[in-house]
Amino acid sequence: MKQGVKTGLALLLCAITVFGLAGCAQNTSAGASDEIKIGLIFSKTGATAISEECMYNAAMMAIDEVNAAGGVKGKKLVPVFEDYSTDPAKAADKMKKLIMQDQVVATVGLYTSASRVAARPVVEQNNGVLVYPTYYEGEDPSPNIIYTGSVLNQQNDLFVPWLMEHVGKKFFFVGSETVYVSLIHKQAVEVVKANGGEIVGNEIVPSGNADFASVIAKIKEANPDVIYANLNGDSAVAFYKQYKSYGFDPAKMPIASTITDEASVAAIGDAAIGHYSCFNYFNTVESAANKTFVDSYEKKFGNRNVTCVGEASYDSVKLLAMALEKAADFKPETILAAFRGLEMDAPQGHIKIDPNTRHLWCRGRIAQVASDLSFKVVYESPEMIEPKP
Amino acid sequence: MFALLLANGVNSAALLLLTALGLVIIMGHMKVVNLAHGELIMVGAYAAYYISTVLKLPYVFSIIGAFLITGLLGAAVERLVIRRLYGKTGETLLATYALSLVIQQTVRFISGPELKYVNIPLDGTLELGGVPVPYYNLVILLVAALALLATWLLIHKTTLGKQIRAITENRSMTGCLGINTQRIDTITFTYGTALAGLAGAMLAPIRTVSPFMGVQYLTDAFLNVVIGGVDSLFGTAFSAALIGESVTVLGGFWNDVGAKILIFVIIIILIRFKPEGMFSKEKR
Amino acid sequence: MLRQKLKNMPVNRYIDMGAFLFLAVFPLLFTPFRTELMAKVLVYIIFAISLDLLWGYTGLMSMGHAVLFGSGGYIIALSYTFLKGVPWYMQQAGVEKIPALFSPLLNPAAAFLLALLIPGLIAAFLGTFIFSSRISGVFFSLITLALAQIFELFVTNQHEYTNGSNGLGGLERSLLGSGPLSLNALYYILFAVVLLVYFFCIWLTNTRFGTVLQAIRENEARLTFLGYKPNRFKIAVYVVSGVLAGLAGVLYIPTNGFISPTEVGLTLSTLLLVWVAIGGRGNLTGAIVGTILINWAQTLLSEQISDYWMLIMGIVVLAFVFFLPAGLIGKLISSQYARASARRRNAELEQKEAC
Repeated sequence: MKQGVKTGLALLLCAITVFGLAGCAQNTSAGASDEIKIGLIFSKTGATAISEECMYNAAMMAIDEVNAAGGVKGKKLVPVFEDYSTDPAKAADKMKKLIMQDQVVATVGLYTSASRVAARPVVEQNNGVLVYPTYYEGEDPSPNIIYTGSVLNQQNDLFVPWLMEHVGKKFFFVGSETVYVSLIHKQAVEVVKANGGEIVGNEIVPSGNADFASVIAKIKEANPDVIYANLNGDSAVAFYKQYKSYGFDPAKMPIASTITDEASVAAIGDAAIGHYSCFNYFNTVESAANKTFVDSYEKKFGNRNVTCVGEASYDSVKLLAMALEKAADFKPETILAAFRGLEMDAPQGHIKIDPNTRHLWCRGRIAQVASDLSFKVVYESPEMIEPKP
Repeated sequence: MFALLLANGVNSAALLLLTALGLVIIMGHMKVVNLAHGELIMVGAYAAYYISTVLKLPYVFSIIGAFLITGLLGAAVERLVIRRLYGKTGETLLATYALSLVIQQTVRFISGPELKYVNIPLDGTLELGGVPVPYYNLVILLVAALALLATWLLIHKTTLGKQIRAITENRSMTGCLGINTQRIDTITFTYGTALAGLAGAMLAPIRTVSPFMGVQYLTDAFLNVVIGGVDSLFGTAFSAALIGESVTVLGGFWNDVGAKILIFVIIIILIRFKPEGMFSKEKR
Repeated sequence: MLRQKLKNMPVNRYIDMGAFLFLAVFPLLFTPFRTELMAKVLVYIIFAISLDLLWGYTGLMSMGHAVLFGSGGYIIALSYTFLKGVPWYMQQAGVEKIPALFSPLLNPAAAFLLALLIPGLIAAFLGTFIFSSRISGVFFSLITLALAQIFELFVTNQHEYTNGSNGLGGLERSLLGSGPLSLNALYYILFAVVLLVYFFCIWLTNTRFGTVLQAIRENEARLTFLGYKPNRFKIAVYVVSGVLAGLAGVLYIPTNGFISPTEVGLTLSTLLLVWVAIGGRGNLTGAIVGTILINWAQTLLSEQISDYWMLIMGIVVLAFVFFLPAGLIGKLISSQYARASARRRNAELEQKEAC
């Protein structure tokens, strides 16, 4: 009997010691006083990792540039990175950890709408700050989120009419099963109908799906003018490749996407030539600021495939630094207030944070993939468009 | 459209057969359940990636390379892990599951978690009566048929095959006859895993290569083998054809996921009524 | 009498007591962040105990137990979501009001009962279906494996009802319509449930039912010769295990606030196997200890070496299969028996020599 009690008590003591020590170890990492901790949350693994890699790189580059220029109020920005693997549950978890345990002043990141939706209650309940660089479908703005990506009226509303004018009126919709895609398609359907177009198909596939044989069969049957395909990174690569292997012609039936960016094109290779994408930024935008930006990116990471969300992440960090500089203290409310009306000359051109909706004023652009696999901008909106989330 | 679906179904069936062929050898003849089979397929895909994209050799080398490299890995696995767990199915399940994790994470470390893309070695399509059939699909079909034939010849027409079958029937007796059962076991397992590597190499160009790609093939391959008859090559091929066609055709008319779920359920019901599979030689 | 009972208790019960003491005082010693994590571990303990009944005691290795966990979880999650009105994702799909099929979910009590009933029914159905044929252990594992994948696919596919791979979030921390609970309140409710489940299982495994289960694990054929019908027992234990897993799923919702298809499929099912395998199966303590240890090791270590965690776990499980197949507690118990029987033998020897 004595032996058993001893074992039980010993175990209890051990457990307490271990956790106590671990607990102490945590508290010391609350950060030195000449550092400002910023959270970065992107997917390094998962179906959207291909699109988020550039975001992470660009954000890190921006942090380095800010620190090289003296930091914020003399303090260095220190990134704390978490990988959410395209999993909304993980996104919520990691967000909680960044805010509650690492005590970051703000976080830049997230790509998928599902992860934003999952993390939003966490950010709000724990009074954190999230800067969300990804273009998305628009929502009722959260008081704790700054949206530095474009919204539908800056993307969809430009793209569909242009396509109907320049390519054709029969649309076949293909999309990944995400919140963003369902909203985009819903809106696009209205625009198509309003301009006298026709929708001949609508296929939604699970996120990360790579087998499009049956979808392609249906496309062949329906014979549209434009395939409006909004697929996440991984699926997109498979789709474009399979489109090519079945012998379809991009001149007659191009794929138009609001998701396929430079990184995806690099992975897709030749199968991407001739297709269209629409973003507020392409790495071929002609401006001095952009040239410097892409050149530095290439020097650091070895390729010029800076994507729209990558540039947005870069802008987000820079805007965050500006807000932190402007803010009197680092309380969430102060930081959020400091973002209002903030303007910046970004690689994509001049941008502004709307004081009321916390969304981004930016330009819209449409481009086609040329034979050297770079994007050739075929249309650019003349000035910044107001966001209407 | 139906014709196109049928043609695609053949492709699915061929791929399914390739992934399941290695399994039928290992499960049928060695009675070992290897949960790391998906990861072995993944290793084959990565081998193909490295040989074709990094070393820039023609794809034939990728296929052969994947076959050999995965086979080697399989041999190591057999000697270090599987050999010590013969007869203990529960332990084997756990151990091979742990192994799958180890292989997955090791590959992740060596190559990075990003997806890798392999270009299709043979581009272009053949118009067959209005149905576009990509050349590569024909290659897959050819490879699958060859693999099936080669395996059948090995098992039924060679001395080694005879020894393998003897071990399956009665291990201890075969040992008494002076045959080195341990060596044959290693060879059998190696062959099975090499086949998995082959499947991986064929899959690499049309699927994205990532450390986590293996899991999805595991269940499909297992169900295919079980329903066909765990020790019947013909059964596996037949059920691969059946399952591949059904899922594709149904998916074309309905939707992909629904088709898969329905077919799964049907398979499970079938297994319940015929646990030895459709073409098993064994009577329980 | 009590002293006699205490003396004869196997050593792992002391570990249980130690663990429960530790769990009881945990919130008072650690930060809310850690308490929240431990609350999730409590839910997982219930889940692990349910598997231990099935696998540890009866020898049925289910590789899809998360299906039962997730069914209970999703039912409650849907209930909480619907209580806030027609969810946005359903409106997207054109559904204007909550379908009649789901109306019972609007009543928290009814939802709770359903969330326990449905996993039980699924288990009963599966059990009757599988066990009445000649399907042996390995096939059972394979079928449950396939089931886990199908279920995950199914939940993801029914996105008009379940929001698919985006999961259901923003779920309230409440139980049975209680309104928002504080973290500590939830923690102690969970703790109470854990104790209830634990004592229930101790009682169950000490009845004749429990003995029969272990007999099934050891030698089913012999049991049949003795006149028992193992199938009935297997179905029964599967149902009990299923209801407990469903209960864990129900409790998971207020604790985690979020559920997605990944939590109802293969990943969680196999993780569960790891907890019980490392802890030790067939003695309830292993399930408790294994779950606590691995979840905490994962949290603590992933802060330092997050990248290597899964690799380490794979290697550890492999090592355990070879060197400690009975798990930590299993090893402890067997060494206790070894010592006890060694003592007995020595005592007998001494007695003989004395004569």
